[in-house]
Amino acid sequence: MFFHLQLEREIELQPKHFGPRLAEILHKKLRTEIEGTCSGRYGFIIAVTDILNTGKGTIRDGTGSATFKVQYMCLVFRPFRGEVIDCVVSSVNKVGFFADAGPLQLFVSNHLIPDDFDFVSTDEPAFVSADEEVRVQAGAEVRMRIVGTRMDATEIFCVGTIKENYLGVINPAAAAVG
Amino acid sequence: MLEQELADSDSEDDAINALTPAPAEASDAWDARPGRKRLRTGAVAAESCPPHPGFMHGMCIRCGAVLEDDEATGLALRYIHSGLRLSTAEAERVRQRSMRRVMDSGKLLLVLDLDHTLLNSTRLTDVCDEAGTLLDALLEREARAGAPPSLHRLAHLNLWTKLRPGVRAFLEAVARHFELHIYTHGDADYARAMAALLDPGGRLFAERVISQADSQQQHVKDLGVVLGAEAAAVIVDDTAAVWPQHAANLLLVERYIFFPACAERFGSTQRALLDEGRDEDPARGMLAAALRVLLEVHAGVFAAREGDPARDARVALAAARRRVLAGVRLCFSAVIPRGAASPQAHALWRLAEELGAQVADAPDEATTHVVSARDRTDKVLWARQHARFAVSTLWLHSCGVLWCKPDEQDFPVAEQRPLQLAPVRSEAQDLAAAMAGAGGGRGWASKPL
Ligand SMILES: [Mg+2]
Ligand SMILES: [Zn+2]
Repeated sequence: MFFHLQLEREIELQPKHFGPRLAEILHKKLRTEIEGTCSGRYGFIIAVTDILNTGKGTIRDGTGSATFKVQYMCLVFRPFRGEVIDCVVSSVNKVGFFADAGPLQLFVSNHLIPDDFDFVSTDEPAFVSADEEVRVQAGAEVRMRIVGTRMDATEIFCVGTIKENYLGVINPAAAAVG
Repeated sequence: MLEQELADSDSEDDAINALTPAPAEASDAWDARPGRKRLRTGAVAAESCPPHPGFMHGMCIRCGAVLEDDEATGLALRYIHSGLRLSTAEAERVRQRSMRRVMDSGKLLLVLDLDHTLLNSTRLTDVCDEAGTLLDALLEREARAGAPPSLHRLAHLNLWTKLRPGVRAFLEAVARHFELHIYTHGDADYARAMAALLDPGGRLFAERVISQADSQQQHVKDLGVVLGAEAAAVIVDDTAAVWPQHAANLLLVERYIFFPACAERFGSTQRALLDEGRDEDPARGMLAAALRVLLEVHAGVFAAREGDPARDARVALAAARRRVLAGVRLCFSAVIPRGAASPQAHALWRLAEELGAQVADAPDEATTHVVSARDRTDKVLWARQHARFAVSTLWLHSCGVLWCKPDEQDFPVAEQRPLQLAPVRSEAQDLAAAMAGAGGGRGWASKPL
């Protein structure tokens, strides 16, 4: 799920940047430091959308650098248990398959793949339905429900299921491209 | 619920309130913060947990429950994913399932070693200038020839790698009848690089590349990690000692030693092929023999019906071995010390029996071969008088290595001095040398034991 959050971060700037472009450099630094990172609390910080307040800088003794408390709005992506999410299959093996949803990696075990799907490894490894109509293989787009999330300070990992109605491959065409 | 979770999370931020209430089940996912791992059973897919079939980064792969601690139980499958572990029961379930799947598609599992089996690698720095010149010339010759080269200079790994002649054709041929796995004591980078050389299309091995860090025990390879049922698996390796549990699955191959540094390591009297200026003949070499045996094993397994004990790769392998010298009745001369307590325990006696030959103490009417270490013994003279084969011990060794009966005329009994054999080395020494050679001598495996 995506959220639009207001967060705060201290940014340190060297004295050489103190000048007319200070605000611009500060914003740029915030973006490079924060976009694309993952926090155990909020999830993946996808993009900074707005900068609300940079506050007054405080000069640090000894170094001459200044720190700014920057308040900003950002888009975060955080998976929840029970959430339904669309992903792209990245690899398939006999234990299950891995998929990506943007920066998030998910795993679906063969317990949570419908029983009429069988693992085949001739050619491209895939889980294939009994009627051979549906193939879960690298590149396919899959809709799954998140069964568990594991969030650490810098990493999020999920396990999911496609063993429910309306879940499973939603775009087999992507498989040919992948 | 969400508010409660947030309230006791000593949250200083209002930002979090911006999170709209998530679906009911989602709320307890919130406390997956470091230091707050609780065991919870899942509401979404509680099929039959516990027992949990396996864990991904400490989270059940079926119900999503998070383990109290990262208890390291079960079987780690790092080659599939660094965080994946399966319970013993689940591993067995996958093993049985994959055996059924593979056999339903008319295939068996084949586990292939890399070093000295499919190829030979050596560090760039272990090649002397003279050999380096030869290698550069060969490299250039192969580049000009246009065919896929067998010699590779991998600067990023600091390695020269020489593929065993005919290895690509061998892999193509066996892949039609087996699901292929690589299992090496080299490291993961090395394993992947070698897989790319052997199988540039990535079709033959897929994710089934197992390297040193994936083994449960140092210096031991284990079919458990392969998730292959023993009845459906054949192993091709040059080192028997790394497979203590699976001798019955092993097709032992003669070492492919191309680089001089490797010949030294094994202390063999045999010189490296590079030094001799020659290479194995793909049509008559070890891989051709191995292919023949593998096809025989495959045919043997699938000729037996479901439920028949002969529908087992181990049984078929032993049967193929016994056919090598079927119908041969031999006796030894000048091989086993006179008056030895149990001549049957002698390595050559056992080898002959393993190959399906009958062995007798003395020549008789039915004797077909006299295997002798010296010429002009009574038994050798008897053989000549009675038009039977008199062959050197090397003949029997060749039968054992190549799984066929080579032409007896090529193995006359040695004229005077006994055949010079390589100094006898213990299995431990051999294992140490094989370990040192794994991955071309890179990394931990190259350290002396
Ligand atoms: Mg080896
Ligand atoms: Zn579970």
